[in-house]
Amino acid sequence: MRRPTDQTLNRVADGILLVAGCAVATMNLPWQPGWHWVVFLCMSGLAVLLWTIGGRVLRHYDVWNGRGVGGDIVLTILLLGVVLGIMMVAHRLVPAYRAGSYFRRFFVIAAPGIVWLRLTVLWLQRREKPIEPVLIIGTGPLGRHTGLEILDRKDHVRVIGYLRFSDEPIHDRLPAEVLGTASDLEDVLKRLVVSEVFISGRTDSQRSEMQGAIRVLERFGIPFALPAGGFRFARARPEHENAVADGYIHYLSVKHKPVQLALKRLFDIGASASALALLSPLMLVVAVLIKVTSRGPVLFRQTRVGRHGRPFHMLKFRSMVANAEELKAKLMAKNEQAGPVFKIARDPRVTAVGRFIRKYSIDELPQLVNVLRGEMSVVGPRPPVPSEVARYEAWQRRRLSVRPGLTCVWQVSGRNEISFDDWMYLDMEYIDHWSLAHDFQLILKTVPIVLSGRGAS
Amino acid sequence: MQIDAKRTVLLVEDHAREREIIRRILVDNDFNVETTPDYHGAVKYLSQFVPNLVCLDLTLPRESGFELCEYVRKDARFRFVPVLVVSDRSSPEDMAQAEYVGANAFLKKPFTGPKLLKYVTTLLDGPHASRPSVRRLRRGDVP
Repeated sequence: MRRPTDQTLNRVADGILLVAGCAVATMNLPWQPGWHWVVFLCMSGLAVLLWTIGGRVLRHYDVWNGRGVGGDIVLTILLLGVVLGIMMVAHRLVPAYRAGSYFRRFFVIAAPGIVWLRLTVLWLQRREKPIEPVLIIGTGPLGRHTGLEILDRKDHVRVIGYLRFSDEPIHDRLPAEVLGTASDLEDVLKRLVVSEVFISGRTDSQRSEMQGAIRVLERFGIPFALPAGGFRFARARPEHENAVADGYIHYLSVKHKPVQLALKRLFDIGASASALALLSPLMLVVAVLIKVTSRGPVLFRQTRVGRHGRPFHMLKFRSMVANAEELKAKLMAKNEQAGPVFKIARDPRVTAVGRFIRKYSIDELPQLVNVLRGEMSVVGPRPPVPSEVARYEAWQRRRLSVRPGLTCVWQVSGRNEISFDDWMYLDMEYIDHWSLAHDFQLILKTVPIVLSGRGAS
Repeated sequence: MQIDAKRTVLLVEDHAREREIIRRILVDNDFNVETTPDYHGAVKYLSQFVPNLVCLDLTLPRESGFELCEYVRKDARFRFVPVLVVSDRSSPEDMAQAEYVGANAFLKKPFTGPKLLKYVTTLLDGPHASRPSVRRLRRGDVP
């Protein structure tokens, strides 16, 4: 059930609101009638242009951008603030025009409208578009009813498939296809993006298979749910209805810290937005340098694997020649890093500007946009490339259970001088003992390393 | 056993008002309805007659609807009598348990008259052998 019209409608309506805001802001200007229209048109044009660019950078109108409602609203307001800020600066530059105070009117009209609209769209999206893929193990009555229940609830969850226990017949009235038996769980998790697994088994006859599935899921770090009772209740209900709202107890492989997680996301948005604002002159200079000194685009978009294996485009300043990926195969023999990662010290594909921006990690700055979009975080395991993930062992895939980040333990601990397995252990340690305070420590440790250019390649 | 051509529904529901509402809906649509508030009343009726359909609530004053369903399924006389569970206990687990004890369909409370009728008529006229899960009717595909 794709409804691209929601997004198109949202886009058009946002445009109308922006123009309306501009119309109100330019009303009653103390000029001749002719001027009034010119100012109004320029202002509307600028507003819509800025909004379109900003919306594109933040993937504001993508059907699925992986942000929660809170995060999305914060970003919407931020985007509006940025557009407004730039417009105010632009208007200050035109001396005759001193309508700064009229912006208050613009804001009053446009902002609540856009935010309210966004909430409506998100609500519609949540009803219409299932996005969190879940897997159900068990094709018996419990598994089937669980799947139907998820379909009925119509929120953001989608059943992508079933695995059956070995004693279950193949059932034909399921809301999703059967992908194999419970023993295929590991293969399925390697192939598909799954955000939660429902283990709909009976503890009397399927106990050992359920336990096996739990072992696999813990190794992968994927959240799972077990039937709350496994018993028949004709009257009794859980005292705390919310604890088992859907009849399942939900488990995570990490300690659940919702408040800290929300604060982390808020920090990510604030920090990346202000860093982008502060560093934009530097980034502009670097962009020009890259464009002038070598052929090819300024930014390098690489597919990386995000949370729960969902791929995204990670942005970097291009530091290599344009056909670097093709040359990689030829250089594979010289790989200096054990395991599935490719790194060599004097990579001949790196350009002169590239070497400099790499030394001071300037090439990573565009990832602040990834952070703002919600695909990455400031602190978190570095996102791997898909070919790396394909060669991961099961336990290493647990790295993908959190949002990837710009910096992590590995980056502040001597970088390339440690082995791949140690690197993985460091990431696991980070995931298992995550706290906000630890994040800030890592950020503080990262800053001097980046500034000194130590250990970077 | 039946004298008249009307089909009989045995309705087991403890809540007097809900019992009356369901009874009214079925009677209005030409069903013969026998009502009883509990397991024992139902067992007493079943010892003498074979209804066309058993419609029961899970929460009953003494023995539960699950037990009644098990009782019905144990007796070969009722092999072809469909059992419709009407209950506000509607977690996937409750529905699965109802299926384990042999219920043919599960109607969640609250429901509308047309929906109840759709369930009842599908259970009575649909292909019994395949034990239709009438719950799927809501999505429009008749089993």
